Amino acid sequence: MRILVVEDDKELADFVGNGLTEAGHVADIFANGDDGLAAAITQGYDVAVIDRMLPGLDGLSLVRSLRAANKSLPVLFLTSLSGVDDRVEGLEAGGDDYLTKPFAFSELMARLNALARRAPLAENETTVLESAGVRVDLVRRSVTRDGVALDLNAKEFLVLEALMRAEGRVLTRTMLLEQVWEIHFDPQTSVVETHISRLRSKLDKAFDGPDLIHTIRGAGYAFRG
Amino acid sequence: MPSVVSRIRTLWRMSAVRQALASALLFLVLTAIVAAVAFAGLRSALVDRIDDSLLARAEAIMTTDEDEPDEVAEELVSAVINLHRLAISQGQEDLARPLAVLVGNRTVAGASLAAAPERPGHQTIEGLLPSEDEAYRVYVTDLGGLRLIVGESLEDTNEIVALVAGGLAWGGLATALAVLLGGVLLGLRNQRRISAIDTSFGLVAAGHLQTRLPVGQAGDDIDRLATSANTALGRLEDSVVALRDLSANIAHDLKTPIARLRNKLAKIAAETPPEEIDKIVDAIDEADAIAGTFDAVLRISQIEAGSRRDRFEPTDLGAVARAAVDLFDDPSEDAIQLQAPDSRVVIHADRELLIQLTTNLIGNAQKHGAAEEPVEVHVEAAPPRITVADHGPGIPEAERERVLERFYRLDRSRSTAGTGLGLSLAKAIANLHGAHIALADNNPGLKVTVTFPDPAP
Repeated sequence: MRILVVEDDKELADFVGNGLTEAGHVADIFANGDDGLAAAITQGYDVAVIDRMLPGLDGLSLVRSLRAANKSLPVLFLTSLSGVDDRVEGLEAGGDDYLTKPFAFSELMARLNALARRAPLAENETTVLESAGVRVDLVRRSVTRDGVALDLNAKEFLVLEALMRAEGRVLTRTMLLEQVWEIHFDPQTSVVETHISRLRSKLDKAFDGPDLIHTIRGAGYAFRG
Repeated sequence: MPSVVSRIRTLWRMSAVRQALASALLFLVLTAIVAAVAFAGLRSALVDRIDDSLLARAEAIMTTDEDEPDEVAEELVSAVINLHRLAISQGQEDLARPLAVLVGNRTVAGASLAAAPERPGHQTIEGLLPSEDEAYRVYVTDLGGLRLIVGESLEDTNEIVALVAGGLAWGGLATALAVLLGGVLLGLRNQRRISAIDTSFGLVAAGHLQTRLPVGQAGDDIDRLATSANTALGRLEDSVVALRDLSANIAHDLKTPIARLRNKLAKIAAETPPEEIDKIVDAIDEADAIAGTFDAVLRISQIEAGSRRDRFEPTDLGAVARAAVDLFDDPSEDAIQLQAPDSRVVIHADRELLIQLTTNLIGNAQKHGAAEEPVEVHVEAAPPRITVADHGPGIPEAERERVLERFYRLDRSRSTAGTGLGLSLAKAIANLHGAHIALADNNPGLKVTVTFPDPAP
């Protein structure tokens, strides 16, 4: 992917840039808002990482200008502040996701992947998810593997759905909390781990085939056939 | 429609009403004093006039040329008798009675008496005449062995005095009521201005720091008060905004070094052989914990700033409680028991913050409660309320206020994990919603109750 990074903190910019390069992507780094906006408008990127506080044009204004210029480039905001207040502000300005500093690089990568993969076909139209022998009927709320029905409770179903929609990509604990439990804070419980563990025993351990739910150490979880 | 009682209570709270009441009361007291004085004065004046008239009549009767006591006595007796007859023949019975001549206690001439006066001079006697219990004012003289009594009924006098007193009393009462009513009406005009100021301050207290009080045209002390208050509010708003920016700037300044620290550790981790990576992972966790604490402090400050109130939406407390309990993953309901009404309990709120509040309380209860006993979560509708109770050691009464402060930890908890911010975050969220947090004894254990204001009808 081609990724635009607009960050004035040199060390953080290098950290992100190096990480992205090592992951096989191309990263262009700018240290102020005006240069970043110019690059975003004139060149093509798959996704952008923009800090809210920038010298010159600030992050929110940058994205507003971008949207005003009809650029639909997916944007992830970086900020020191926390709290939904700022997230909503960022989303209203035209941003697509939000990460507070300090963050784990794996979290950033997982979210950038999710943002870049904006499939042209609307995800809402899908009624069935199928992969590696697993069939999830979103209407009937039923799951089978190799034809055998699985008994999942509501939240387990949602976790599996989220993992399968993101097939191959990593979903971090935070992302699962946001998508399945719809909260943006850390509840300080092991609820995600417990659900992954139960899902594993129902989906993987009960069957002879390969394990489908993987733990990526230091990052999160992924569904891979 | 508000009840009469609540209406009266509202009126009682107004300074204008209390002032008018005090004025009316003062007026009543003064009127009562004046009336009493006038009453006494009038009475004695009237009685004095009667006394003079009695004396004159007595002297008129006793005019005689005779020297001999016996003859004087005879004249006296016939004078009284003649006067009696004359008066009655002329239909002036008032003049006729009582006029009496006594020897000892026995009536020799004139009216027959039921009670005998003891001494000479002016005096008042009740029940002077038989078959009447009126009071009589009499003048008594001794003449040899004879006693002359001239008297007049006080009935009329008493009537007059009673009339005057009654008039003064009713007049006073009516005027007092008029003073009260007038005072209330005049005061209510002022009260409206005071109430407007009160409402404005309420808005300020709720976080709308840009509110300013209405200043009228009167230029009186209330207007000057409003102007001064507006100046103070302007300064307050500036301070809070500056503080908010300060917090944001501190956050930016402090989180950046922590972010760098974490990145450096991550780099080291990438170059560390797997056998030793755990130490680095621990260090990274500590850095995350510091950042987490900082986030929590920032979050509390942000919540206290109050701007999230603008994003309130109708929220069902039952759904909030269920979402919070869900985060603890207890399908068999061994660890957490939830009780909520079947119908929705909807209030204006921030759903995510309420879930965080409830999760906080449940987490606390689990951490400090007894392991074998479940944590109980209750949702009530009237008033809207969430209660979380555990059966652990509880919190001593003296410390219940302080645990809501940031970073406060009970002595026995100092060694356990946690920052001491959970309850102060809960308090900030409660305050944002105008809700009240109460900590009580659960016998044993701690019961935390968050009561929300009733939603407007």
